[in-house]
Amino acid sequence: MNVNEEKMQEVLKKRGIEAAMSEAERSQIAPPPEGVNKLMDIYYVLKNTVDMEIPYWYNRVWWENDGDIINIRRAKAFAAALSHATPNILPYEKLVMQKTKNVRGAFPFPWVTASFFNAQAEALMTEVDAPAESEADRVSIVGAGGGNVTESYGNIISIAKKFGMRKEDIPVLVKASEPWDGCSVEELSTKLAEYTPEYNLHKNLMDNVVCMFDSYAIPQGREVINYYYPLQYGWDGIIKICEKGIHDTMGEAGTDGILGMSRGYYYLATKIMAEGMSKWCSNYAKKAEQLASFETDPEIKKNYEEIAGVMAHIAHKPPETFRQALQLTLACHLAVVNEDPQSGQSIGRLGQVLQPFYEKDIEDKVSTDEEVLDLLQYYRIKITEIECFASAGVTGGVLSGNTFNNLSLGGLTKDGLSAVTPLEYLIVEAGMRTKTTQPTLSVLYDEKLPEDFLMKCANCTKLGMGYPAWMNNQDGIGFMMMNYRSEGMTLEDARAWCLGGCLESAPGCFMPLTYNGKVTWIPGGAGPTSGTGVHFIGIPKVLELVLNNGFDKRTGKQVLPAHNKKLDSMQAITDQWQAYLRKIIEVVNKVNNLQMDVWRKHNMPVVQSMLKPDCLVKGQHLGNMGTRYNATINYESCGTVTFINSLAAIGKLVFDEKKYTLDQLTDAMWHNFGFETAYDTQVFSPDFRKATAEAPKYERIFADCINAPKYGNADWEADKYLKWYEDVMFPMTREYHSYYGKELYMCQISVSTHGPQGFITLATPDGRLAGTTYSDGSMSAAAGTDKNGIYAIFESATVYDHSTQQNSQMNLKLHPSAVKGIQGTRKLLDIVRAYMRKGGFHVQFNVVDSKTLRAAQKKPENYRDLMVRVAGFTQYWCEIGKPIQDEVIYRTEYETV
Amino acid sequence: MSTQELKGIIFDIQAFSVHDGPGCRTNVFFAGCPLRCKWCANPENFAGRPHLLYADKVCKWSSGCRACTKICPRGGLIFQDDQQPIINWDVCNKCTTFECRPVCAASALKVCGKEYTVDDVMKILRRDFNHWGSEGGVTFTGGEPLLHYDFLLEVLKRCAAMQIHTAIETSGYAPMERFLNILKYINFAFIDVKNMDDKKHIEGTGVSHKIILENIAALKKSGWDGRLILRQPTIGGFNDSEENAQKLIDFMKKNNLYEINLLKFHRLGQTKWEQMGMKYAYAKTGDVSLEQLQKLQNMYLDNDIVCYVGDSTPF
Amino acid sequence: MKHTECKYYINLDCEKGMCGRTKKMVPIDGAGSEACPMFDQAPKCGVCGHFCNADKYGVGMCQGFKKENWAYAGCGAFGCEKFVMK
Repeated sequence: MNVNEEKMQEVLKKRGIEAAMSEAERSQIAPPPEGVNKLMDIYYVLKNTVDMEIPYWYNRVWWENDGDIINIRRAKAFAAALSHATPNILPYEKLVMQKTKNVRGAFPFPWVTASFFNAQAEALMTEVDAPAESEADRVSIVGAGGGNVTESYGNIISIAKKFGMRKEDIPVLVKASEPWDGCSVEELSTKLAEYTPEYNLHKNLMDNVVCMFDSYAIPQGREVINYYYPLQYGWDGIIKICEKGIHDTMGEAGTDGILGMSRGYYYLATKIMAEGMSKWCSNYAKKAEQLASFETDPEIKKNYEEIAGVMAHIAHKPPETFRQALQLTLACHLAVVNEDPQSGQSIGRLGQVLQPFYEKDIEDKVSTDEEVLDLLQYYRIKITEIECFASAGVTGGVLSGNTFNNLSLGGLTKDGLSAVTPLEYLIVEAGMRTKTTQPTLSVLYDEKLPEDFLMKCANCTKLGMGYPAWMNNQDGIGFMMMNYRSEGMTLEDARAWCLGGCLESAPGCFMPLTYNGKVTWIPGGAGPTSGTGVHFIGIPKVLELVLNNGFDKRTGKQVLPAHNKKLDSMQAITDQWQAYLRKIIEVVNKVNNLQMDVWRKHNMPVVQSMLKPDCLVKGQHLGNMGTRYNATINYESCGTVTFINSLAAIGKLVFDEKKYTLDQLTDAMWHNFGFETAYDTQVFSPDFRKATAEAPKYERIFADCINAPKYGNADWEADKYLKWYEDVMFPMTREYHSYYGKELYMCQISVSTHGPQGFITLATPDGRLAGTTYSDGSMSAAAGTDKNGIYAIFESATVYDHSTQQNSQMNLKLHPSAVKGIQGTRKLLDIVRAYMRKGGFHVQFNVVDSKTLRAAQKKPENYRDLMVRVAGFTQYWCEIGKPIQDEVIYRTEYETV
Repeated sequence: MSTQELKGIIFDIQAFSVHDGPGCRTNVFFAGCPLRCKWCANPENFAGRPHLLYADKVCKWSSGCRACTKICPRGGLIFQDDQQPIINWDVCNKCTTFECRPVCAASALKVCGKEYTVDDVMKILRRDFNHWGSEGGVTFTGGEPLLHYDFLLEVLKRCAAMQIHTAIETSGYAPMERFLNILKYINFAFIDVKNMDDKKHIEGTGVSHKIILENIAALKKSGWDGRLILRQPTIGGFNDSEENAQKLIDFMKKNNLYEINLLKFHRLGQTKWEQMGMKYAYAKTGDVSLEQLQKLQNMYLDNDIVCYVGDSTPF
Repeated sequence: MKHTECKYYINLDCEKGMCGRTKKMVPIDGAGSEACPMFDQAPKCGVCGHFCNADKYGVGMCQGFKKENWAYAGCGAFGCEKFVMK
């Protein structure tokens, strides 16, 4: 603290100048409770681990019930899996339950995808049988990858370069996978997909990574959970609802000749599942009792006893305190993320859902704000522990290891007023005190939100953890009304929207929670996954294929049928690009529909189908469109700005100025503008260039491509292509229908696919070199090309109406000095507001010095807790891949000196 | 001259500027300056016209780029022993055509300074007006904005019509009538007082401080209702003495001034001086210790003068 | 006996856990993985009276339920309604 601080305040006051200094502000953030620190210290040294307890029990009960109605069979299997999982409680924890017995645990789902394990069975068993390595090899490599187990060592086998599995679990994995050979969701849908007329084309697109991944890989997620029913009724209450449902509908079709009979099965399945949930919670109560029985430390003993009390209560009854309510939501959340491989299972507007419980505890003086704050910090750790085991490509390539359990704040109530609750201030404060990657926070920004709340959120954003990100509430509502109009969405329900996954706007509804003698309308999800459509089409790659007649020079494959057109105008190029994209969507969509249809028929969610309105009312699971809104399936793009800039360069250099012919331009592209490729150099930084002997030939055209108009500078010569693109995509995606028979729409987030899809794309006309990442998100300028400042990017980004698509994504990097002090908080909020006013959908910030990031790249072990915002989520720096690290470093940093 | 024809040379327009006035702002950097401060952070601006810059550190010569080798018709770029270009500043300082700039893909060869019409500037300000938030606005800085008197006056009149908050950062070195005319349209001003000892002022900046101090006094007397903050880039061995501070305090008290911002010496200008082929003075001695800055701050505070250090400002 | 077999053992990850009594981290393999005299067997399929015929990988048969099925020795049995200590 400045020695003159006090005196300064005095003089300022005397002079009538309102001010407060930065130092005072910084010191206000209280440290986490001791238990949280202890748990974080443990967390930092933990390995991601897969084990077989849950798959074993699922498998056993599934096959023992061969021939049963699938919905019921699913429920029996999953209920058995949860109720047999070993409960595991760490000392110091106040909130408990884990996905598996291991803290950062996960497990394979052979019933979803088994081919990998079956193909690898022999190799895996050979590894098990191999003699143990020398003692020296048993030491794991700490630091570089954080909790990732990237290589096998000792008795641990690396799976998907992320998880460690103990050797003794491998025979179990092999044995559990065998029966699924040929009948997992993956294999069954592949067999059917082979009947689609252009299956070979689909295979080409996947093999050449024009399309990034299959839907079955993570069939749930990118959606918002709904905690209403358990909070209102408890498991016993839900069992009663199901019993009534069985009584009313078993054997009764009503007037629905196709699905009417399914209702009885649904209620029976849901009852079984609710019983399983209850048992799972009871096991934790018993475990806590056992731990308490031999605990000698009185404080920890008391803690275990409290946990036992909470778990025993919520195993049956609806919660009666805030802590019970929070614990119950966690139980629901963990059960849901265990019933399918998934990422992006969003918590939703938790501070509004739990406000009635918080309010009562404060009124009754059974709890204080500080106690609630502590619990919310313990909650952050529990959510950060959630890991997802999908295939290697999905886990590392797409997700960067994050599972995107997003918590939304703000937005509007059912009545259209500010929905901000006192509890939400505490949620933000907890995120400031305990800095963890999850849950990431998202503010649904609306002009109606209280200024002090927005300032609090801005203050949190400033701390550099990458949360909260800022989303435009009015854009979200607009999108809901447009997209779900055909399903009868009302303005009231539209207001219940929030983020599913990192950035997927997802539909919701308000439910009447009766608690504390009144009814509170709480928001929650009301649709299935708002993703799992056509996944990640690398649109610059599609342009490359247009320019090379459908042939992929990198792999030497004819990926798309040759178009043999003369590309003699911008129109000809963009027409062909549209023709190719249509073909891609058509082909991928059919295969995707089959994957997801097999999933919903053979692997329908049983927990999620209990939670989401209106399944329990309709008596239909999520696969049978039990939820209120079902037009949720999207088409996902990657590389928007790289594509826009490429069009701008072609337009200017080839057709407007006619400085080069298209052949000259493509010749330069195929020769990587005379530079060595990243494939050879292994350096993927957008800034790295190493000339080859051919360089002189391409120096001029390279400079012209680099200097061509670029998106993000308020330059219409580039921005007009963005407007064109968005206008084209809106109707185009709606030509295709999902397995729910609803139109697709566009999702424009890259997650981390701009790394791998950039990798497979040769040099692009904007001067980007082969193999380097695409621009991230959909609205961020390509690294280093935004020369006119933040406001110019905002202008460029808002040349179209963002509410026409599911989302857009803008990443900004700010130097900490730009937002220092309370004035800095105000200025950060000013930027957010500026963009929101213009209709921008989303903006997120990395408030970090590039120097720090470079240092962390060199010595990751010294920066275990450093976090950055990547595409729509926060991740530990040491747990993200190098290409993405390079991209974050190279992003333009906004600072003023 | 009609306002249509008025032109100003501006070397940068920077959005989201947060340290030069209240709120979020757009900084308009005018080219040209009558002073020659030896620590200047923007020496490229001295000339007052478009000017070549060479950023040798981002030059991709070592990665094999040779794009600029045959481009200059006047021999401005010299390549000795197959090394990256050396700039022949005698030639390049006179250049108006800059053939080398478009061939450089690394932005190592840059031109700073561009002619703007009043409409050009207003178009950007009108756009950025959407983004500043309630407190922000435009800050005219440089270089020395007062050098572009007619142009700036017209821009300011248009800003007034649009109710844009205006700030200026100036040396105050201009004829009094012009100075006061411009300030009439300014809501918030930073005026540099670099040294109270005129001899030293001349030594460090090339000009006398007499006009500057008179302008400040006249401004206060004129009944101007804006906010005035004096600024002093605090340079070790030049103006970091307590003696200088005491004189400035006396001056401020006499003129009823009560806000000053001591700026920390930084070396941001250093690479630019080198990029332009000039030597940078004070590179070694310019730093002032935090203790000394706090000591100076304390002196001002003792006299009820608000003294901000660096970017710790309440705006 | 190993820490991992003990009822005081708290699971952490694939290479280590924590002793519920001492709150110290303990390795699963190698030096330090041996349990202390306070060892008390945790419920696991491998020590269940219904478990038999284990092969060299610890995969054997569970006869505790109506339908006999394969099981594996390392599987936790805390939540199993049929567990009986051998």
